[in-house]
Amino acid sequence: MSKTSSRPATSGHRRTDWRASPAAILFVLPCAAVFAVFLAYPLFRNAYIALFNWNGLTAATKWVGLDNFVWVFTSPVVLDTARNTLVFGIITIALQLGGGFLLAVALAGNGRIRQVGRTIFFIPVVLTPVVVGFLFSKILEPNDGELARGLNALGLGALVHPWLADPNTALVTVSLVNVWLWIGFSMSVYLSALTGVPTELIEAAKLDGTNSRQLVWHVLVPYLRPTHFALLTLSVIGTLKTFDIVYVLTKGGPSGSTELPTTLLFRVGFDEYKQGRASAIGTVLFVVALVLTIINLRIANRAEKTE
Amino acid sequence: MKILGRPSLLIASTLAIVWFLPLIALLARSLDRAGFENYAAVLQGGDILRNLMNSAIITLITVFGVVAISALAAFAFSILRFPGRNVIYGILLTGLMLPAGAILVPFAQLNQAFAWGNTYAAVIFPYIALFFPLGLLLLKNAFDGLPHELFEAAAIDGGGVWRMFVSIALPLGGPAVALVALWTFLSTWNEFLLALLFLHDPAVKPVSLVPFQFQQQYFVDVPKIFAALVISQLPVVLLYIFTQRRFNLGALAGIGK
Repeated sequence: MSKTSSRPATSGHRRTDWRASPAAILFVLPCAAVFAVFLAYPLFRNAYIALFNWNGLTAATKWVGLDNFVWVFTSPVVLDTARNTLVFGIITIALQLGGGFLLAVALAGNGRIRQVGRTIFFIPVVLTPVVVGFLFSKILEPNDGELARGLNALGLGALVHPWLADPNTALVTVSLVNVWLWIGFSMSVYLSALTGVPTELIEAAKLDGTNSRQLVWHVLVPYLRPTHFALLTLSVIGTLKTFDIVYVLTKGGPSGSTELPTTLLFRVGFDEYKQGRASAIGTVLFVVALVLTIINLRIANRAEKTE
Repeated sequence: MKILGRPSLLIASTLAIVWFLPLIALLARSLDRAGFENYAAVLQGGDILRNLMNSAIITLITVFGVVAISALAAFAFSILRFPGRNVIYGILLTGLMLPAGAILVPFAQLNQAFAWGNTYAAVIFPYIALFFPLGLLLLKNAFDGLPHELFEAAAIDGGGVWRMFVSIALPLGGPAVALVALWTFLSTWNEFLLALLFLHDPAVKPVSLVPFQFQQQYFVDVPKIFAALVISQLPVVLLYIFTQRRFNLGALAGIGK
């Protein structure tokens, strides 16, 4: 992400010195100031708070050194949360990228139906996640929710289940709601990327007698590799940031079965009043996100180079 | 260009209908029992208008702030040359990876220090900080793609860097600026966690708090809650419908660069 394409200042032209304008400082300053006060300072402050036991309400703090970090790496609660995050991430990322890609391929091009289809899939992306969560908490009610009523009407009443209240199904259910919310995003990114695929490439493949499946699998999937990686990077970060939808649907329950990093942090910090621990979770979460992103981008860049 | 034929379109359209059902449920629930009277009652209650107004103020200021500061910095990182620029750029982008939830306590302490309790500023500054890194990334990529002969020519004509920014970078980077503005609009309008923690006074609550606020107010009168929800979603849905063409998310595909 940080690899800037350094444009060679056209050699021989001393005039290009204007690029070294001291005004650059003024251009960068507002961003740098906001970053310093509202991101960097909170981040370091957070790491510092993590060295104390503190309830967040009174001034009383107790130095505990790295205890809170040790807790993060050894607590079964955190381990469960990590496992939940992995399951949630795999389900949502696989369906969002795979499904979003297939939808884009199917809905690319002109025509009323295709356009309406694209609009329908994108609308959830613009909605407020809390509102969507509240809506689905009603839709998924096993007694009088729309899904249960629909299944009953179809004679499939046996499938009705307390989807969100059963620890065995809650995580998958929450993941699927998240897919409903976000699939249009990856579809839309893929649609944009597909417009960059040379028409000749597709025409040529069709002339060669390639069938649709081969076209998608052997031509489009490899061609869009940079898009896959960009979406993967965004989705991993998105997974680690997920809060609203889970908070409204299950608050991390039942019995911790849908606990994700940010809901755990919220519960530990603001329900159990253990700000030191919450801060340790936040600090580790940021480092994990940073490391995963760097790995992602490394792989993406290497893949691009080997082509 | 159409890539696939009818069978795949049929599957996708069927799926689209499935995707649409929850939205129908949303509308149906808002009309339950009293029909459009639900809307009338919620609008007459007035609170929802206050929420909309609060969201509009918070969102517009945040969008302006994000676009302004990220465009300025993107211009410097893309066009100008100064020591340490790659390192500084990389550091600023780490903000992309920072979940708001991870730094709630320091945010709360800053709000206390600045005496911003229950004011718009309590969320606007954190929002600008959290949302500018994506703007910076997208705008720098956009400016990188501009033909640099334009800037050279402007330099020969004796135009200063500020003129280049205003009269070349911003207009030619227009689509990227629009995308950043729209995406920041959505992110801000829909943000929940910081609003929940920092805006308790009904006078400043935005629409993302409507589900909880109206649960207390209407309690068992669920249809009225849903009417309020539909009203709260109209601005973003309309924004999307009217700016659909500007939502060219392809720019995000260049995120790995």
